[in-house]
Amino acid sequence: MAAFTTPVKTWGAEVLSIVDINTYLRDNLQYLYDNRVTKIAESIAVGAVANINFSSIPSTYRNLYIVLQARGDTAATNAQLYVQFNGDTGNNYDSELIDGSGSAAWAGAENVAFAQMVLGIISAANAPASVAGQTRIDIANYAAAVFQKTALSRTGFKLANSTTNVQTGLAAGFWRSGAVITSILLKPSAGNFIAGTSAQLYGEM
Amino acid sequence: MAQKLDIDCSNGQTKLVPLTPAEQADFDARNAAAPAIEAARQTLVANYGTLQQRAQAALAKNATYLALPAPANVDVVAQVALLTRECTALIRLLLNLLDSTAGA
Repeated sequence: MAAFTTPVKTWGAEVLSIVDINTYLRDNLQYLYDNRVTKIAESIAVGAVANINFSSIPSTYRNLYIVLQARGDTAATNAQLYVQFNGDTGNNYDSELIDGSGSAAWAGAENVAFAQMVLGIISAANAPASVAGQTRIDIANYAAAVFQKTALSRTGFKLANSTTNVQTGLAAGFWRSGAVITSILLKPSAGNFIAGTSAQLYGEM
Repeated sequence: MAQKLDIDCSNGQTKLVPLTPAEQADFDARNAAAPAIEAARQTLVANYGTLQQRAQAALAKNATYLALPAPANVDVVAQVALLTRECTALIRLLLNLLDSTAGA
């Protein structure tokens, strides 16, 4: 159902008719409901955690997306963000991550037949204090058992407060399975996510 | 033992649970590999910066050569060597072979 454009009415001069109520209120509310985005679950780590796992994901949405703001504790400026579906730890994932800084686009990192997808980068212990990385991961048609599952992400992170160290990236991930996704595991390539790391899972109708 | 933050989407509840033995083994293995991976990454970043600086300097060197009204043989020989190094640097950047700056 498409939304209706509500006509402008002069306050006090007219009364809402039943047609107005049905068309411009009820049906538009239904439109909003049918196209809603719902926050399915979220959490903010209160201490160091090795993994963040969204489990028992309902299959009632069309698409999912995750918003992650994270910092790691490994002794480096950054860590990669690993993602697995449904607890599959086999070499069933393919992914490509490219990132760039300044005017330079870095060559991509391709990971074929890996045990996880590399879908982002987070700042870590040697990055400036209190700096975190941010990543959004979109997962299309996660509940349809037709195609193998796909994911796209955008990521941004900072390694230092200096030129070439403020970076952004794009990634694509592929899971060699068409199974309905019921859980999503996030983990850094080394170390833990530190306290304050937040992750939200949203569903799009 | 490291912990996992589990978020149950059916009820929104979160809980900290110990990693399974398999997860702990994976965690330990990733941590053990991390220093070497970080060292290699830092080498790539440093080499990338070095090659970029050399490319910038090459512009001036090439301009100097081109400004010579009548290059002597020694100038030509030196410029051929310079161009070879510049090509190697460009090839390394093009192919992302940044583990070394050899030949550049």
